Amino acid sequence: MLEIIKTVPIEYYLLYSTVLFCIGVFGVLTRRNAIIVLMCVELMLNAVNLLLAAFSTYLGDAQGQIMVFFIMVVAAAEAAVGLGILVMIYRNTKSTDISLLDRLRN
Amino acid sequence: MFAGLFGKRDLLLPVTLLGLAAALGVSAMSLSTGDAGWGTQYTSMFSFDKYAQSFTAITLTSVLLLAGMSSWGFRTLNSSLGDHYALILFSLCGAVCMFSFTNLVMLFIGIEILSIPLYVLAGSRRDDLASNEAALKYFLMGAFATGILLFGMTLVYGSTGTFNTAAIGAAVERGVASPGMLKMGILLLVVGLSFKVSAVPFHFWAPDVYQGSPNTVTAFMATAVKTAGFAAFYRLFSTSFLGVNEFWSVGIAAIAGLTMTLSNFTAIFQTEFKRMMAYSSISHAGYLMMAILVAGQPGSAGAILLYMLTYSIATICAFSAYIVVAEPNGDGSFAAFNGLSKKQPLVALVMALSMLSLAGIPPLAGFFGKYFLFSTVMQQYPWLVVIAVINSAVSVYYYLKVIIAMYFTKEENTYEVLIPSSIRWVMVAGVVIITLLTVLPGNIFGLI
Repeated sequence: MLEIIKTVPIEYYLLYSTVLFCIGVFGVLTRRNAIIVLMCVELMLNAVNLLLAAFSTYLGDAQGQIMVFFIMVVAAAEAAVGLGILVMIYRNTKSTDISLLDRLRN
Repeated sequence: MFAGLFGKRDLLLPVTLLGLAAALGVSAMSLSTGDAGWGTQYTSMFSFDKYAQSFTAITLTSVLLLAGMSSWGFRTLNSSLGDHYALILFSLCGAVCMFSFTNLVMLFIGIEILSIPLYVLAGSRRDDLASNEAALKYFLMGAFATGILLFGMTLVYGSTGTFNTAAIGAAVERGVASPGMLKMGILLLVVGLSFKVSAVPFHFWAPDVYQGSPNTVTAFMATAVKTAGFAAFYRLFSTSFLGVNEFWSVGIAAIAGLTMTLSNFTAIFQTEFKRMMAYSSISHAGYLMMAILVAGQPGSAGAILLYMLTYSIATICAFSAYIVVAEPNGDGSFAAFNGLSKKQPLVALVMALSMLSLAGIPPLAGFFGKYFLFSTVMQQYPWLVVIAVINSAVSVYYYLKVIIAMYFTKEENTYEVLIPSSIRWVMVAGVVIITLLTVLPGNIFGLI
């Protein structure tokens, strides 16, 4: 299994994760639907997970993979809270569009 | 200390349902154990050194005052009260993690334990659209910042091969195989943490979130959460990245200068007290960023500690005065304070003291916070201190607006202001602490 991972050079993992991460960042900054923004955040976290697993294999060090578990658990908790907040907002506004939420600025 | 906190928190959960008095007492117990000097090393994950202990002690002091304030501040919340106390205490646990981590994994976990309850707390007024909006904004920005932070941690891990902060520090000193990756990682860590402490240009969420959240939660965010953010920032950079400080110090100096200038000049134009306090808290973040610049030098940690304590206490006092004026009357503008000195001299006095302390007027605690901080930075970055001093002078203007409204405005309003006894106690305790800090700032400064 480890050999299979190592058939791809580490630079490729780095590049791939960075691209995934940037797609996530771009999505967070441009999309207006809160659910899609949430998905983009998850994409960022998954890019991190992938890179951590790759580093962990190449460094021969288990810490990175343990970190992946922590990130997964925390991301799940965070998503649960986030979706809860979204449901609350949807009940009040019947919309998940974040551009509606600029009342505080005035 | 942490185990003690866990044990007491278990005790606390049912007890908080009964009310405030027990919460105050138990927090006081944790506070006294925090001072008792628990120096034990746990594993490679935590270290409760003096740094962690003293920051825990000052945060517990703030949360103690906040708990006193919240008994009244939370009275209108429609969901059960116990949850709120529990969430604040969970968040506090995260803060303790952030004070004592020796491993990036624990930094991440600490930040998340701190943040996730806060997302819920920010939105705890379910029917209030402003609170909903604050919660969503805070959540999205928080999650985004976490993603950036994690990518930074991953790159640092990839270049140094470890998550342990001391080992990273050693690897950075030796020099790593891929310095580009390390630098990118540090850069992303700076961005992620700047989001968390709301430093310019990553501050845009803060005024909205501070304004929309329930008052008590805002006070918590502005004090305990900010303390945790800076303590973690300082701890990370002073243990791990001193070897490449010429790389990141330029960025941090720019962020510090920008943060204080922009926020102070925006604060001048605010008409709402809470928004003004949000910008004021951003500007204090700017001053504190300067201490990160001199990380690792003697006195810099003590300067952050003292500054954080004076700032937190003054902010909590200001918010407790604001709550009694603004909440019953539904008016959060400066005009709500008109003629307060005649109606409620105590509230007006507390507000005036905390405003002057935040502005850093000499005999008060805030002055010593600023003095120690600026003098630590002075040797290396004199130009930054000049900017900071000019900014402090600017900040006096908007802090004085409140005082002028309270003492010197002729126009009266018909608002009735009553002080609940819990808020009165918070105010008295806050004023006592401010006075104590005025007399013995050196004791706090020397704690670390």
